[in-house]
Amino acid sequence: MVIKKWIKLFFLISSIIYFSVFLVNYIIDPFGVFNSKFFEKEFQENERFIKVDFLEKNRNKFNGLMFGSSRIGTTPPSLIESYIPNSKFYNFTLSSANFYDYEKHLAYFIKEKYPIKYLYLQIDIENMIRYGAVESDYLRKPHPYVNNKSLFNYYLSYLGGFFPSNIIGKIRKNINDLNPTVSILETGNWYKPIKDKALAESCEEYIKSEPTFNTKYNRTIDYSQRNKNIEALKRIKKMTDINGISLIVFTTPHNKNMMDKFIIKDYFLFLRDIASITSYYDFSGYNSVTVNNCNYYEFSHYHKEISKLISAKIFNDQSIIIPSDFGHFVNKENIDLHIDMLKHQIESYLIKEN
Amino acid sequence: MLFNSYEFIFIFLPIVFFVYFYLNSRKLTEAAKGFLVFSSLFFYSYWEIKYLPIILASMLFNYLIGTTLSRSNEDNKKGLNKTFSKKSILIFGIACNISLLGYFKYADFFIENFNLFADLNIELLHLLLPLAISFFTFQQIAYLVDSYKCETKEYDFLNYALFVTFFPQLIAGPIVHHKEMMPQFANVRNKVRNYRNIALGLFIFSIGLFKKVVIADTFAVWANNGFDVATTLNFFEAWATSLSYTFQLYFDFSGYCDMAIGIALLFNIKLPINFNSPYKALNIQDFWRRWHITLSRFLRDYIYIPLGGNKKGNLRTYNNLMATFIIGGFWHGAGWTFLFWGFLHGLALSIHRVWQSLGFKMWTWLAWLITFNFVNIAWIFFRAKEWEDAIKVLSSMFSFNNIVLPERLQSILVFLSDYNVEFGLWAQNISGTNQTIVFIFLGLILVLFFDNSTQKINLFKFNKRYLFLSVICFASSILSLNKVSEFLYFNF
Repeated sequence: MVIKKWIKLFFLISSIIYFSVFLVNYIIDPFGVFNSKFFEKEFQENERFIKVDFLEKNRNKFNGLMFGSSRIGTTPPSLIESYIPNSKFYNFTLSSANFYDYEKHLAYFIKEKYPIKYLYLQIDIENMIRYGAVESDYLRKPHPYVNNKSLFNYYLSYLGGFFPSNIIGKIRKNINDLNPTVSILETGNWYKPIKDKALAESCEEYIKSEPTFNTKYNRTIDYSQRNKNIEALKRIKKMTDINGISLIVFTTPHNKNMMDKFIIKDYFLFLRDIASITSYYDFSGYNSVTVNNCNYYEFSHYHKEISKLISAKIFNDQSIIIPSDFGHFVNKENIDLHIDMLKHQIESYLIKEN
Repeated sequence: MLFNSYEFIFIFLPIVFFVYFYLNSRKLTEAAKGFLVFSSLFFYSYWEIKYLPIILASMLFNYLIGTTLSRSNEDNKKGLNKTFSKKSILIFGIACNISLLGYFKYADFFIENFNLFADLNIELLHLLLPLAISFFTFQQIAYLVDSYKCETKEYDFLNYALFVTFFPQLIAGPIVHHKEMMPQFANVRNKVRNYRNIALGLFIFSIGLFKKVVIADTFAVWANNGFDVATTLNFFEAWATSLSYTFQLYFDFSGYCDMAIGIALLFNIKLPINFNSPYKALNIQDFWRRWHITLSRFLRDYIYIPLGGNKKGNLRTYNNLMATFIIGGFWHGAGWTFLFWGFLHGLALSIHRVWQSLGFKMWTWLAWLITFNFVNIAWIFFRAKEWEDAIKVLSSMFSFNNIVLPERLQSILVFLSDYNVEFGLWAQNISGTNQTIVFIFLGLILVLFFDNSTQKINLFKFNKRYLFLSVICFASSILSLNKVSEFLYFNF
């Protein structure tokens, strides 16, 4: 092959590859960042981008934010609004969110003078082991405004990336007309119509078919991110105090199988650490809600009905019957008693299980 | 500016390439050279412009000293040569270079340790390390010594500035000799576009980019989590952490060097090779003949041999080896972990020398296994930011009571539970998955059974096979080029 031809072919083939990839990424839009809508149904949206983008255009519509991982996503904002007069909440649920995300986004919204008065913050016990963001995770890349980075480079990274599984997933979802999860951008929450139907028809059958309810897990999740998490929570508390934002904190009612993954002494330490910074409602543990698999889609996400119990407990709604062992107000004065109660609860549960 | 960035690949490099050869085609060779120096300084300052005066001052100073040294043999001595001996001028030049490096790189280290020993509280300077200072200082020390030995010819300041700042090798080497670069810059035939070199340059640049962006950055995630994030590691996580760093460092630095060699080739400049399959080494001496070859060459020529090398008896040879490698370790960073890493290598080389002198032999596979594992373990001290991090990784690598196996193996290997083996997420502390094992295995195959870049250059042909390889490496790297990741050797 002649040298000049070799060089020309090198550039030509490389260029064809890039532009093909650019085109495919724009048309398929596997993370929904371009809003190109050639394919209507989303497969895996980058909520961090889409939600900030939506709020940027609707920044004066909301005065309350619900922060949490995907687990808070089943809570409709209207539920919280019914308890707080003149409030308008947005469910800012983010996939795999942790304190890093909460702090970054809160700081951004305050800096940009969003009119936030209320922050409804759900803390996952699983956060013990998680902090930070992975730069290469395109599903969870923060909006460039939040990180003070260039929007152009951000779009370029989604145009030039190689995402075969996300592209195939989105095409399949649109061809097969599957829609297991419906996300509502205007309110921020999500639901699973197919699973809702299956649960309503027969909870027993549903539990049998869901693998996470039928697996035995080991206690491997430790509190390795203690310092980072606690420092971030302190800063979040400080930001809300300084800016006159009402902070409502509670822990996730993890399913018993998820609870089985936490190293107990680390879990208690995490609860103590939270109490040393702010008072909160603790819904975690092996209580009558968390040990009932019918309350969950799988061991990670609780059903909308549970979000009603959570808010009823927090806002002291006497009209709703809440199991007596579900939800405890915790602060630094009563944390020791609370931990003692949890110890007994765990012991009884383990004896019963074995 | 990073080689692995859109702005470098699609803006800076094409502009410099076309303008440089355009000026040369118009017979404006000095202007072309000046443009290359200007572009190199822009490339350097793009990072942080405040470092620019430091490199300019360093160049000017060394040029003056070097010129003085090379003129000292003339009968009609002028200036400094009239007042000072040639040796004292050399010592002054080296001392100034080392002082500059010492001030920026080692001041806080010395203050910290002085505070510790004298129980004082002198405030640290917290100076930011000027980019590439270790490289351009060593390169210029070599120039001074060569000038002292009358091994350099005299060139004007523009030529000298090009020798120091030539952007492909400015930031992290290879550390080049004056005598191997200056004739190339002066050669008229190198001022014309050479399509063979362009194709070769594109090929080797693509390989280097792939090594860095696709391979090294993948290993970086597990290595960084293991060293910097995780507070505890299980047995397999610890091994995955250390091996990931071993592969990350090699693919990162050799990838950078391949890119440097490739870019230089576009300008018809041949840079010396820096890596020759180091992880194939069968003993530690062999390793140092294959790893960071230009640094090893510098340490041998300008430290080991002046100390006496192996000419002054066994004991002195061992001392010289230890001293050379401890200095080598210290060159990499101002910390006790770097010194210890240098000490380990010096010790290993001394032991190897004794072994050799006694005429012992070893099976090839065992020799490789020992060498590779020694290098892998020594890198732990090189990478760890603190002693505690090194101990965390090392102790977990050799602790058999913290073994966690993937959950899916539980049904087959359940009997291992009696021996304290747990089943669960075996790599969660390093954000690893089963892919981690596959990558480590592939990394090992790549470094052991594949030709290295230098061999690939020699085998290169203008055919479809090499075109396919180049395009795949280049295209897949560009498609992965969406996160900023510095080269590891930028820290040294």
